[in-house]
This record gives sequence, structure tokens and C-alpha cells, in this order.
Amino acid sequence: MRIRASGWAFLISFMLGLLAAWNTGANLLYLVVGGLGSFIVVSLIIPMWNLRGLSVARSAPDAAHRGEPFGITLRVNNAKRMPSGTIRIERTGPVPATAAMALYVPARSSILLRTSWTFPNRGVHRLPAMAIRSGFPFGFFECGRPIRDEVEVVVYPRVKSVRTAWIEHLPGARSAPRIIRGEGDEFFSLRGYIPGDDVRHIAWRASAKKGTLLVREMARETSRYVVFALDTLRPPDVANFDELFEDAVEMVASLAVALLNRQYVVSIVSPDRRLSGSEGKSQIRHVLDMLARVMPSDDPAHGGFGWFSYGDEYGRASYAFISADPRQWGRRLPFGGSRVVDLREVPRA
Amino acid sequence: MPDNLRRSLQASSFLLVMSGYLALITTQRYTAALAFAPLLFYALAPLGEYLDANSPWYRRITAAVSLLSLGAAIVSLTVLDLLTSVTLLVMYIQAYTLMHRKRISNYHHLHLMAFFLLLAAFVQSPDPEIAPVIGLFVFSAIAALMALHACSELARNEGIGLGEILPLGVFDNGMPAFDTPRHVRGVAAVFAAIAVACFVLMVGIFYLTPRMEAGLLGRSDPVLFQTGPSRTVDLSKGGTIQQSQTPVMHVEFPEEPGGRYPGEMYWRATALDDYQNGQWHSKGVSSIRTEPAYSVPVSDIVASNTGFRGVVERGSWDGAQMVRQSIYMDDTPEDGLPCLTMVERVSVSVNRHAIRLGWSDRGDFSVIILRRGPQRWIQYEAWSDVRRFSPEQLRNAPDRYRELLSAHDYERLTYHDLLPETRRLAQDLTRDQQNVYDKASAINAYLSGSAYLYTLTLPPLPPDHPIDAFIHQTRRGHCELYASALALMLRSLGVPTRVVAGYRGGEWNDSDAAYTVRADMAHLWVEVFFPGYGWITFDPSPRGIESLAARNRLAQAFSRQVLRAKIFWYRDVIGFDRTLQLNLFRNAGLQLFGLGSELFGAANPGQAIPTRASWLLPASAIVLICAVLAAWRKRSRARAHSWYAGALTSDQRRAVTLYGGLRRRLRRMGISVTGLTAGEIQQHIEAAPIVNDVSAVRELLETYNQVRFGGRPLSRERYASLKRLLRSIEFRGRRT
Repeated sequence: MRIRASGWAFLISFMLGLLAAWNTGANLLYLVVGGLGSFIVVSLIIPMWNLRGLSVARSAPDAAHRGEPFGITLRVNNAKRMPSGTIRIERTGPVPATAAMALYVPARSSILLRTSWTFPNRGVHRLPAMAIRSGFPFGFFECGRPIRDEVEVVVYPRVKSVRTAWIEHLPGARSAPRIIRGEGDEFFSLRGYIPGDDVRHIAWRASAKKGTLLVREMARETSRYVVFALDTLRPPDVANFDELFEDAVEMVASLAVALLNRQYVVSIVSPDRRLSGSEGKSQIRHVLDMLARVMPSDDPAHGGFGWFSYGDEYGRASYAFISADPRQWGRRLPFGGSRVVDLREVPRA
Repeated sequence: MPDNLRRSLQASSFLLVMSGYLALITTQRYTAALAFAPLLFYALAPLGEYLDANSPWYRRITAAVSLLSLGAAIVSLTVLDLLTSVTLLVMYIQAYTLMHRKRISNYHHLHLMAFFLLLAAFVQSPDPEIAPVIGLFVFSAIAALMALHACSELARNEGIGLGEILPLGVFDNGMPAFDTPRHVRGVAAVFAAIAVACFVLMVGIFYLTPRMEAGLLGRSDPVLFQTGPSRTVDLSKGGTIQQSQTPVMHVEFPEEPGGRYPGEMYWRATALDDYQNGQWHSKGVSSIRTEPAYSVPVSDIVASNTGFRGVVERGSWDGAQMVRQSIYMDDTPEDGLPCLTMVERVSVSVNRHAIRLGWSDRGDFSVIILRRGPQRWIQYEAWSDVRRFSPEQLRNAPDRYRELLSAHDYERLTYHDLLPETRRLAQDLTRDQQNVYDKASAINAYLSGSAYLYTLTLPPLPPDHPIDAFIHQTRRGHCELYASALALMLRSLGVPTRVVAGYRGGEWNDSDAAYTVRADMAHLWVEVFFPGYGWITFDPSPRGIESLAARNRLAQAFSRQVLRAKIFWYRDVIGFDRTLQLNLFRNAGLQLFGLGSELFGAANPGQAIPTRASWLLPASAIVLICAVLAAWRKRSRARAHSWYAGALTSDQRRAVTLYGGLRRRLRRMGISVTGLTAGEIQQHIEAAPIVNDVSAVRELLETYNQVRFGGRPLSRERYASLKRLLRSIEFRGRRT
């Protein structure tokens, strides 16, 4: 129960009125005291009654991207025979803020409220703590109760537009080239433009005819299988490692999504997780889901790609070794002439 | 801000402001014309808001006027009192606020100012009309605060979208869609519930708040001014007396059987003993205090009753019957406080600090005079010594007036200016009478006889000898002339007399068990001094004179109800004190639970508890509670089955009623149908035939489905036959 400024004003007025009534013995002042007291009592009781029978169900998308707002829908159901007055959905915490409000919830009905939220970090998070509050009818006192639910949201890393041409030149693929989509010299097909595509590949004439941007896909001469190896060791002497790690994860996510949109087969390995290679939209979800859960590790065994071993894709895939440690960038690795990708050199779209 | 919310806020704020002004009108200081002020402000408010938004000159001018008003308010303190100055300033602030654009905080100010006006009215002794104004104020305050709260929430959370009401079909129980009438009904129901709760709580807190002894922090009484008995009756005035049926007194006799007083009621206000030039005045007598009829030493009375106080009393007379009266007067009298003859003790029941009593400062311990504050009404209790003497006793009374009265007093009490023929008439009438009583009775009988006509319309009488003209020429008049004639004729015989002003009689009301004394019962009668017995009443005016007035029953009934409301207001609201509070608790405890006599017994030890009420009240309360519960249960059942009745046709409602009846019947048989649809119930019954007539159940359910969802008709005849079919269904198998 919170007492708001107007509530304090009424309480003080009530006390002063009572003192005045006692002192003067004037019954009209007792009547004023009665009026003020009735307003106070009603303000104490009605908010609790107003929240009785109200249940709040929150729903949110299963996944969201880090740093990007997503919508939360709150369904407030009133099971009472009487309608409820003004209610507020408040985000609790050190600085409470109103997330949504409604002036009226009809009896035995529901209303939908909408709010948005942004998670700053990847991972699996519960929806922010919220409470339903009401100061109805006069707003002197406000009571509330927390909204208890277990709604979880997987927070993916941000996905940016990146160029992927340099992936073709990664070492590691030893299989014979096939005429499939890729970034070779031979024309393969036309497809819709995807952000991140090289503008040089846009088929302007065909785009003009079609009215939408089309991109020339070229036949590919190298491997379409890319394995991202992500180093998760948190070196003790690197400042801002968490930010660097987030950048590295976002880079992996961006590259993987871009490649998967181009029909690549993508696999991701980290010291404690391995995502088998696959392609298509479902793999995008798997990739992001895995990357949402990848966290920096303090285990020394997870550093320097010493944990890396070839999997089933050996011989078919190109390997991209990603590390958040700037000192690792460009370092040659004992895996077929591979180097740790220098994230500074990755071309952005 | 939604339009309807803004309109609600504006309307409720208007009512609140208006009720503040109406409260002021209920005081004597302000006239009804003040009610036009808020009307004018609100009428001009749109123009003011427009100018405020578009004209910087308007803003500058109003700012300048505000400064001037503030200065004027300060200067006005030299002319007006502080309360009036501040009230005027508050009115200006309200007007200024109304004539400009308003934010949420401005509405707070408006409401606060209205509250101040109400308080200002409270401290200026408002009339009982303040009661409905308080009701209006509370009602509009609830509405205004609710609207203001909603607006404040919207303003505080600007940019946050409001909730969206879900459409039809999203609920498991198939509730109807949100619709505006239902919305409005819901808001109205909530408002009504809150308003009722506020009123009940307000009354409860008012009655339950402990009453303390006033003056904890010091208090100054209101400015007092003195009123006293009117000391003049002018007999020479002619014309017609308009009779007013306005109730002036409400009298209860708490200690008389049935509340009825058996004797004739003369409500004695003041005695007029000095007659000069056709006018009666009050001057008082000093020597009559030594009269042995006062068994209590008068010197003690004088010593202990100087000054004004809430209670005045003297010692009682031997052999007198004590009659207690509880009297409410709507207007504090200026002619002395009416009580039955002769008053011994008077106590102000309510607001003792506002009205102070005292004996007449002319040495007459039969007249109560008073000082009053701004309050116009009075509630008091009087105890009178009613002495009844037989004619024989009075005949034997001595006539040694010169021994008992000083020469000055005797001369004044026997002074008259009657012409010789009138004196002769008095002597002729009393020639055969040997004592004062018989003489007075003879003249009284003569005047009461058919030779004189009682009328309220009479020509002007000569100013030098009005009574002679009445006795010999006009022979028609009202009580003033009758009483004056008797008094002066007796005076001409050397008998000290005086006339007494007050009221005669009272109108009995069964519903109140009380008497109502109206203004047209004002009367003048005669008191004759009998040594050893005091002042004895003689009244020559004919009885039944009230029949002269054209009685309007409706007006009487209305005025009685108004008086009753005023009495309730003043006695049970304004006059509610600790004693009444304890009595209330005690009676409630005794009547409801038979408890509390020990706890509160001291509050009113003499009061008998009605034995009948002790069981009747709790029994009535229990019956009432049971009836309310039964009605609530019936209603909730009905609502459970007809929640969407408004959306259904009459045929569909009948089908729903049948279906509900079938479900109840099956449930009573122990068959669980909770959560099952009509089709599932049918399958359930057909799979395990546990009722005597499965086909009846099937028919009922199919009819329900066809009518409820298929739009088929269901006539009343068919409905009646299906009801009979429903009643024929009995349990026959094993319960599931």
C-alpha cells in the first residue's frame, strides 16, 4: 500500500479536522471529519476490492534480439460481477514506471494492454517483474500485487548486415567444386535482394522489369559449408571483454544468418556446445538459440582453440575461428593454415 | 483525455463549485442571488479559455486584476471581517480559474476552494438546508475526485495507450461483447456503490467518533448580543392579523404517560405588568419576591442566578407537580423562552456555549431571558412547577396586597385608565362577589360570553381609551383586547393583575408523540395575584378560536415534516453529543443483543427498556438479513443463467431457462454436468440411462440447441409443455 501526496493531504486534513472538532465540539466539523474519513476508508478498501478477481496473463514472443524492443501483451481478466476502475501495470524495480494502464475493466470481461521491453543482454530471461496496481477511486492510496508468471524469452544476439564474400576464401574446404549457388563467376539464378548482398550483384535490368530488387546468384566454386568456431575464454587481462565478446557473438550470428539466407550450411562449435551443420530457416533459429546461450568462460581449457577438433564436416567445410580476444585476431592456428578472424577486417554491409 | 472523461470532470467540478456557493446561501449572511455567480462564471468560461489561449492582452489584464483583487482583499479587512474577506478572495480565485485554461492542478484548486466555501458556511451557523447541500457536495466530490484521479493517471502516463476491450467470443463462458450501455451501467453501478459506501461511512464516523469535552486548545465563544422579552403590546392598532401556521415549537413531555400533557397548556414567554396609554410594557416588580408563596428564600435565588449560563434554576415550590418539557424552537425567541407556567429550571440541550440563559433582570422568576450567538434555533429542556388550586382555596386567599407589595409596585399593578362607565361596569359585575377569585371569574365570564365576538379583523381603536371602546362600542376583538379588558377591569377594583404573552395549546402528533405549537397559537392572557398562591391564570378569550383560521392540511403536513427534518438535523446531527452517543450505543446493544445495560447503564438510568423491542428488533434484523440473502442468491442464480439475457430473444431466454432448469435438476440427482455442453450431457445420459425418461432429456436438449443456436421459435405453449416434461424427469439409475 502506497500513500500518495493527495492521500497524505487527506490524512492530515482528517487529523486537523478531528482536532478542530474535538476542540470546538461543533458537530458540523464532526460531519466534515466524517466525510474526510469516509473518503479515506473508501480509498483504503476500494483499491483492494478493485484488484480482486483481476488476473493478468502476459504473453511475449518466444525470442527477441538483444537491445531491440519487443511487444508484451497483457490480458487483464476481470472475473468479478462488478467492473474494475483505473488500473496500472507497473514495472517494478528501483525506478518503477508505468508499463500500461486501463481506465476501466468491464465485469466478467477482459482487456488487452500492450507494452514493450528491451533486454540489454543475451540469454534466457524472464519477462521483467511487473505489478498490477490500483488507486481507484480517488488515488489517495495505491495497492498492488506482483504479476506472477514464468514467461521466458530467449534473447538472441543482434543480427547486422555483413558481407560474406570473404567466407569463400576461408581455408579448409577440400571437396570438389559444384555448380551451386555461390559467389563464383558463373551465373546461377536470380533471387530477391537480401540486405547485405553486394550491390554489384544486383540485376538492375531484371529488377526494373520486376519492380523489386533482384540479385544475381553466381555458381559457386568453393565449399558451401561453414563452421564457426567460437572461443569463449575470458582472459583476465582484457578490458571490456564482455563487450568484445558480445561483438564477437553478434558477428557470428550476423555471418551465420547471412550465410544461411544464401543456402549455406552452417555449423557452430564452442568449447561446450556444438551445433551440427544444417541449412534453412530452422537452422537460423537454432544458430541464434545457441548463440543466445553462449557465455564467456573462465576455464583456461576453453582458450586458444585448443579445445577445437574437426567433426563430421571435415573436408567439406570452411572454418572460421572467432575470438573476442583482440590478441588472438590474425593468429595462425594449427588447423590447415587457418587464422583467427580479425573482426576489425570483416566487411560490413 | 477522452471526451466523456473530460465532460465528467467538468460536470462534477461544476456541481462541486455550485454546492460551495449553495452552502454559503444557507447562512444568513448571503442571499440566493449568490447562486448566479458560478452559473455566470461557467457560462463565460469557454470565452475566457479562448481568450486565454489567443490573447496575451487578456492574460495581462486578468493578471493585473488579480493583483488588484489581492490588494482589495487586504484593504477590505478594514471594512469586512476576516472570514468575509477571505471568502470573497476565494470566490475571485475560483472565477479566475474558471475563466482560464485549466490543467489538472487547476481542478484541484477549484475543488479546494469549494471545500473552503463549505467550511466558511459551516462556521456561520447555516440553516438546516445545508444538509442536502452537504449531500450534493459529497456526491459531486466523489464524482469529481474519481474523474480527477482518472485524468491525473492519464496525464502522468501520457503516451501509454489505454486498454483494448476484447470483442465477443473471447471468453470461455460466452459473455457478450463489450457495449456502451453496459459500460455506462457498470460505471454507474461502481459510482453508486462508492457513493453509498461514502455516505454510510460518513454517517457512521460521525456518530461513532468519540465526543470529547470541547475547548482542549482554548476557544472563544461567539460574539453575544442580548435579546429579551418584547415589552410592548399596543392595543390601539387596528387592521387584520394574518395567521401564520408556521410551527414555532416542537414539544415533548418525556415523563408524561404517552407523552400527552393532561392539562391546559399555556406557554408563558413574558409577563407585561405596566400599562400606559393603551400599551403594555414589562417593567417587573421587586417587592413581590417577599411573597410567602415562594417557599425558597428569594435572596438565595437572586444570589445564585445572576449572570447567564446554560442552565438556570430556582428551588421548587411546595406541593407543585413537576412537568418536564423537551422543546425545540426553530427561531430563538426574542420575547422570553416559552415554558409551561411556572418554570423552575431550564437547560439548553444543544450548543450550550452558543446560548446562555438567565432569569428576567426585572426580578420576575417566571420569565427566562436569553443571550444568543449567531445560532437561530434552540433546543432546551424545562421543568415547570404546575400548581393547581381549588376555587375554594383561592376564594379564601387574603387580599392584603398593600402589605405584600410596595406602594410603587401596587400602583403599577393596579394602574388603569378606564373611563368611569367601564369602572362602573366592573363594579356592577362584581357587586355580589366577596373575594378576588369570584370577582375575576365574574368579569372573565362576562367577557367570554356572547356579548363579545372574537375576531382577528378589527377597526382602529382610539389611542387614549382603546379598552373602553372595545368594551362598550366595538365589542369585538382578539386576545389582546380580551385579556387587557379583564386585567384593567380587575385593576379598577384594586386587584393586581398583569397580562402574559406566550402561546396557548398545541397540536398533538401521534407519529412524533409530541405537540406542535404554531405561530397562530400566540396568545395573551391574564394573571391575577393571589397572596399566598402567587399568580393565577385567567383567560377571557373564547376557546376554539383556532377554527377561525382556514386550515390547510397539506401545508400543515408539509410544515410538520420540515420541522421534523429540522429537529432531526439540530438535535441528532448538530446536537449529537457524548450523552446521546452513549445512549445510542446502549439502546443498540440492548435492542440487538440484550447487552450493554451494565456498560452504559449510567448514561440514562431512568429510561425503561421496552421489552417488546428487545426481541422484535433482532428478529426483524434476522428476517431482513435472510430475505436479503435469499434475494441475492436468487438473483445471482438468475444472472448466472441469463448473463447474456440482453442479447437474446424472448424465445431464446425461455430456452436458456429450460436448459438451466434441466441442469439444476440433473445436478440435484447427483449427476455432474459441470463443464459439459448440451450435446455432451445428451451423450452422457444416453450412454448411461440414469433418468427415467431419456427421451425427455433429449427433447429438452435438442429444443435448447435448436432455439438457442438455431433461431427456431419457442412458443409459450411449447415452453409450458416442456416445463412439465422437465418436472417429469426423475432419477432412476446409479449415480455417476
